[in-house]
Amino acid sequence: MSSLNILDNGQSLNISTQDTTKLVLISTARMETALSKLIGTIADGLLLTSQVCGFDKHFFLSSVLNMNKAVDGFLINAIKLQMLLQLRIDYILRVFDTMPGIKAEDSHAAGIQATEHNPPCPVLPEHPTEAKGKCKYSEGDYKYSKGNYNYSEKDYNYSKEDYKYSLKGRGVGLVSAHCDPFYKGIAIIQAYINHIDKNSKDNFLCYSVHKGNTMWIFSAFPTSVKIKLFSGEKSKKAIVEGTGSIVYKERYRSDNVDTASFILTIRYEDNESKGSSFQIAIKPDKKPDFCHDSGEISLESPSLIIETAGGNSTNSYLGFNANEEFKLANDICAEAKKIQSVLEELKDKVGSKYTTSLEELINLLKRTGQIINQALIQEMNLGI
Amino acid sequence: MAEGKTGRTLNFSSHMLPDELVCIQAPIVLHQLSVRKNITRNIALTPKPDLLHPFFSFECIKNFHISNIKILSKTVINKDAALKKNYELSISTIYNLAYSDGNNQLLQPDESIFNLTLNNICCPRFRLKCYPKEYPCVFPTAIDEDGTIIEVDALAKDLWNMLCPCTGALIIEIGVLFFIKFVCYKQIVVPSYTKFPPVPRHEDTEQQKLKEGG
Repeated sequence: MSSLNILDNGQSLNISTQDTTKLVLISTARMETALSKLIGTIADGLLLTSQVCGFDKHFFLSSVLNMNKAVDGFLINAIKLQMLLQLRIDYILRVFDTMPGIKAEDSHAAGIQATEHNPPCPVLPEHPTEAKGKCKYSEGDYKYSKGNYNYSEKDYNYSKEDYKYSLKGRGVGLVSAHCDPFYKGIAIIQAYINHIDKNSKDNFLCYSVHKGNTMWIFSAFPTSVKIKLFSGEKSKKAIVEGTGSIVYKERYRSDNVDTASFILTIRYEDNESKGSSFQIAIKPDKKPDFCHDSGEISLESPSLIIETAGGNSTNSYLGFNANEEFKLANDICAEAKKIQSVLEELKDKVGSKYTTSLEELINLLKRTGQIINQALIQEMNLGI
Repeated sequence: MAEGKTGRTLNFSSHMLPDELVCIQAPIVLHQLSVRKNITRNIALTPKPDLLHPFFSFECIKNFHISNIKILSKTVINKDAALKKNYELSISTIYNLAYSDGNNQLLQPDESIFNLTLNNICCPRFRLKCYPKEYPCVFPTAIDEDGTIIEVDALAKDLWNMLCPCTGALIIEIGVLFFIKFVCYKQIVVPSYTKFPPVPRHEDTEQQKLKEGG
């Protein structure tokens, strides 16, 4: 039984995530166009009204006020809708930022050598303390050398898309590094890093270890977290790197705080005899006493999951979104056309039935307000 | 033969023959004491499986009860008189930790073992004979090999805790007050009557004096 699921990038997809995000952008642009068309039509209507009624005393003030109220409601909803669309564009731009292809191309164009084909991400040795026979962490121990790292390009195919993975779930176990002060303490990692929405408030990675009356908490800065995946024949390995803050808590003492960098290694074994495991090494910036290496912690329950951020689910979600957005934009366009035709008719009637024309205009505005309101609700239901 | 309230001698054989004799067991508390004990527990609170971003908060301890009592060792101090003993007890307790993962109110079972050392327990067993080894009892018990029953009741309270809200790492100090009783049961034989015994009529001394005076 495995406790870690690494989902490969959806091979069965007919359309890439990049294309889907482009579709969402196009649909949003289409929606913007439809909205501007509707606003333009309403402006035409208002212009016509002002031309028709002018300051004619025959018009009831109440009708004008009604019209003003209808325009007011319409404009408020239109602004809300535009704000939602702006949020969607921001979101899609963030998604584009996380797409390695686009970033890499830019870097390459700017003459910066991308690190994609360099050797795999440097990590701490598997058991640095055991290998070196000492318990104190020194700078030397934290030097990332290719020699310490067992995985070579020959054994593992280095993934070109470094930032497409997400880490979700929870891992609990006992610290196995003999030299660590928290040896046999309870280590817990809880993470929700969804790279598709890098700036989401929900993104977090927290690791804690506690033993006796002391607790040590590490909280990663979500934006700093990078996830890489190495696929071998019989096993897969994910490397999560980043920076964060640590808090050392002890009873009867005040909290100690520092910043630190970390490397989390999650290993997935296909071999049933050897289960999945994780190991986290944290190096503080200022207080070397807070160095921590959990050692290899075996995962007993299937809880810590790594998956592709641009996988099937996200892709289909974006596709659905684009599709719905197109429908909505088409509806609004059609409605704008209808209003335009009604306005044309009204223009023909001008000169004989002023009051009727004005009433019809008010009704038209109210109807448009309802359409915008409906569009707003649908947009909010779409989520992004 | 027995002496009544009035000072007269009653003859049981003639007036108060019981229908049967009933044997009852009466508890005798040999020694009782209370012991306070603290324990620090390191626990990982678990969120509901589907919850990706928990925010833990600890509430309290619930359903604290004793599950098992074991006598680890016993030392008789004064063997001849068998008056005093030292005990080492292992008391297993079970309780639930009430907490919230941000969305749900949850309970997580936990257990801890308390080792108590009790010195100079006065058990004058030589004077008493202990009868039953199995009897209905409200409190969890342990029975010593000489028949002394150890009854334990407990009152628990979470005294201090340290919690990581994101991971659910919890350090909790639990304070427990144990009430321990060393009990043995004495057998008493009492007469039983199906009817109220016919008590011979005796006039009060005052009435007799009145009669004599009259």
